[in-house]
Amino acid sequence: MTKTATDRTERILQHSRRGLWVVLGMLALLAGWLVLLALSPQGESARTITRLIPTLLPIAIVLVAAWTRGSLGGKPFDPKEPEARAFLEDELRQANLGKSFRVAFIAVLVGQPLLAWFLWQRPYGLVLMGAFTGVLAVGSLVAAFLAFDRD
Amino acid sequence: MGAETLKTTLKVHRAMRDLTQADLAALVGVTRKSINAIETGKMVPSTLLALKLARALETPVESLFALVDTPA
Repeated sequence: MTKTATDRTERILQHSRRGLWVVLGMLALLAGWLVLLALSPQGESARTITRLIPTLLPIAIVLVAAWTRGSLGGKPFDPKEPEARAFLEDELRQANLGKSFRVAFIAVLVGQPLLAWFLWQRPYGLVLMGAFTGVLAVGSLVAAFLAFDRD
Repeated sequence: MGAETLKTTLKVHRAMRDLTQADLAALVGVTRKSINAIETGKMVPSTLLALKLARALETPVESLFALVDTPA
């Protein structure tokens, strides 16, 4: 691979990290919304956000996609290209991903009794429990991977 | 009895061939971070990767990696 190819691999790596930070940010917002729903399901804030989500979410996704795609230099990600394969099959990255999955698993296990204690008498407790568990699982996975895979 | 750890001369062989970490990463199909992690001892490469590195540096794999006993 030439220097250009090396730069391309680095670019894909940075693009991936940026995307993961965006996902983490969106999960944090989602968690905030869930907390609002849990604490005050009939409150004005919770109802306003719930009404706005179907409008704002597609706009946010399009904006984020356009922004992160720009960081790839206009050339879309192709998993078959050698530079992308170097990124996807990288051993260090795969080892870090494995560690991150283990962290997320433990986070979910530890989080269950805490969530149950927080939600057991709240309206829609079971639904919120499921939603919180999902956010916790993906959030801890992404956060752990960003931490393990940093420079 | 002490523990056995991996010792590597990857950095030396890479420097002998005037290659950057990015150059070597490109030759074996991994990222620069992986090469850095192997050189600093943070990562033990798989057999496949170790052989690819040896081939890229035109040196026997035993010259690149060795087991050493660290005292307890």
